[in-house]
Amino acid sequence: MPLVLKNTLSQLLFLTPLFYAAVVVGSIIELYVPAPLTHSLINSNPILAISLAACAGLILPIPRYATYPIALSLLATGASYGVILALISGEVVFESLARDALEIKLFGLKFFSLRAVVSLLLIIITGVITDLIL
Amino acid sequence: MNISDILILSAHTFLKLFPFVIVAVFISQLLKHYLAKKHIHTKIKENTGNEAAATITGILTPGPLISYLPILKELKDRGLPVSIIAAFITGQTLIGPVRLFLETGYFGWQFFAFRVVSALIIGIVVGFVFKLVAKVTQF
Repeated sequence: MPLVLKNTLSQLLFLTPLFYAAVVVGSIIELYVPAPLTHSLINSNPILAISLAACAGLILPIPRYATYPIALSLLATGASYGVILALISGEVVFESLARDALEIKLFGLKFFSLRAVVSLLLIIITGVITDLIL
Repeated sequence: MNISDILILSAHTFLKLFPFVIVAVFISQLLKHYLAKKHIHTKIKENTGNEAAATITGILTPGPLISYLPILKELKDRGLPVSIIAAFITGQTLIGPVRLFLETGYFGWQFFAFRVVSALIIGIVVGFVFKLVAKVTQF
């Protein structure tokens, strides 16, 4: 148990500044991105909004758990659950450079690329389905 | 842009959300410490040929994927199909037991249930695509 507590503390020390930074970004979005802008984007083309969210999740170097405050702020400004699902799922596909590098080293670039492309397409499709149902 | 507004809202959001992160990190460390890697190793081997079971095993497996990649490589070298490995990795990356606390806390049970179902579908389809592609090319 002391080792678990020590590792938890060490993880929290690493994570807290990143998490707080994500909360600040989320607050800026909530305060300054006008809700009608988000609404109009989603209402005009939900597939585009979901695709953009999935790609943002893939590209942005957001650490584990730090996506949630940003996703929550987007939800507050009118983003749909499909967009949130795509953002969170997109983020975890390319979560860490170290992990991606090891996956490529052990299984090859072809394996990694195919998994990423197929996952991305399916994330967009499930995002659209989520929007239709929720 | 008003800095004090941003800081007040940030502090409010941080205090609301951070307890979930503390619980999630603690549980992930607890699972990492007490769940033997040998158990995961056996589970994946048992599920050879079944992408759905591999995806579910991935979803239920805690901790960072990076610690399982060397085991998966060893299993691949011993003949485990790449479709099973791809399904496991996909399930493991998309959902983890720890996310249950975070996502239900932030977005509710319905949303988390959707995420689990979508991860299951994505894992199975990724495994199926790898099965097809593995017939024409080597990984």
